[in-house]
Amino acid sequence: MMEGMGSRARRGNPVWRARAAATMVGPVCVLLAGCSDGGSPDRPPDQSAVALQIRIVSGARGIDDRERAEAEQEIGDVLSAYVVSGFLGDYPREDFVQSFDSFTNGAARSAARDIDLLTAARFGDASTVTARRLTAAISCLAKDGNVVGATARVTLAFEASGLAGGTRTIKLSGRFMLVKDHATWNVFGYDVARADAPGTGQTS
Amino acid sequence: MRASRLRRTGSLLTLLTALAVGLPNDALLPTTLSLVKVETTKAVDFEEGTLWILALGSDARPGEGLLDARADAIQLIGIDFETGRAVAIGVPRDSWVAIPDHGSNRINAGLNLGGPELMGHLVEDLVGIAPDYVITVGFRGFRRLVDSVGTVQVFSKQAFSDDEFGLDIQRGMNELDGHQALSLARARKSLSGGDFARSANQQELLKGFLRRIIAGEDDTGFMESGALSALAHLDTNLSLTELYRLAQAVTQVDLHRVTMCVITGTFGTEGGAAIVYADTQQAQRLGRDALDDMSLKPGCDG
Repeated sequence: MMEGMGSRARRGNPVWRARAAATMVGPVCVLLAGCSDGGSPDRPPDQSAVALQIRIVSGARGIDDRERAEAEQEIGDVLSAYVVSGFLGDYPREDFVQSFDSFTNGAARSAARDIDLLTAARFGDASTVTARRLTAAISCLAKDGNVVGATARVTLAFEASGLAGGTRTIKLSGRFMLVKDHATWNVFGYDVARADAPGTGQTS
Repeated sequence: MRASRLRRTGSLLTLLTALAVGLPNDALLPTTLSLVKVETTKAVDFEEGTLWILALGSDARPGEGLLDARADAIQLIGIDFETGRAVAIGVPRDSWVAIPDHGSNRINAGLNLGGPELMGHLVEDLVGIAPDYVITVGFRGFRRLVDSVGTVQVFSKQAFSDDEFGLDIQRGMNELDGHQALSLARARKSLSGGDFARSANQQELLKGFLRRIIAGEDDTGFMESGALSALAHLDTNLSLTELYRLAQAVTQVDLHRVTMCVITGTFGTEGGAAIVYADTQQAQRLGRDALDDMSLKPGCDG
């Protein structure tokens, strides 16, 4: 499921190709929209690069650099696929439920009930939704040098425009819980807060 | 799974109201004040519906296998992930029961005679609920498990001191480290209710441990280190990732919806040994109540 999501996202957005060049050790930036060079100052704000910034903040003791980079990369794939399907893409749209393809069955059922909080489904009529801030701090669960589980503490901020009531900012923060099962990472839980507000054009 | 809920703090509203009253109208600029609705939701996928865990405390001494000893603590724990309700049913360790192929014996002998699987069957016979998992912990493992999360806050209905374990418990909440928590789990002679009261204290320890997990779930790395500690100190056939998912899932329990009972009984002797004739009818009633809505009636009458 996760691979399918990642592959589809890569095909649909050329900037995904740029992530192959991402640093293999240390913070990983997964590019999601706009451009592939970290953003250029002469572009208008809604075209600037916004990358999902991922870094491991705990539980990495005993993990070698390769495993660490692989975990960041793979967890980044899952989170990126969720962000793309849940918030970005071509608007107007209604296909938000596919955002949970990398969730376990039980978590996906719960997420479907919480779809208004976990995706931009409320703003499906928007003309565009643009990422403003995407960060994930990873706490690893590792055994024998292998990362088998993780908590991703995320802050995701977007701006939805073209709505009848004007621009809205969307902010989702909290935790996603993941385990690696048969070489595939899945989200098995979430604990998040959602705060939407009239847009200001800036999101801190 | 906990339903979505709205979190709007009264203090924020109070502050905004005070500001609105205190400022002239033209000072109320929407760009400087805004009230943002924050909605939260949480779900953890572990098991469908309900989960039953039999938690055993082995009295294995140093050098002795965890399963080559008796079960000093026997607690059947149920969790309903949909409602956040949980129950604990304590089984007196000296309960006199029939053990297949072994005649009759105290129920705590089941661990040595047939391991966790037999203990699961014996508790099922008594209460009418088959545990999904059996988890066994020894003295040292329990102490280290508590120490790995720091301390636990444990409620006690009564103040008491126990000279055997050097324990001094206050009425109300007590903050206990691993050594103190283990002492509370074992102390019996100083309690007026004997083994029944000890079982109740063990339930309060479990609740204290749950309280600590819920308090720490947002701390960076807390759940991960806790899962590793559990794997190191528990005897279980759960894998590390299953323990991790279980630990995350139990945070969905609402502490205000936890009910706990200890099966009562009468003291007696069999072959010169002190035993307990458990109230099997009450045990079955408690089991039915728990299965019905994952709660136990006040007074534990079933």
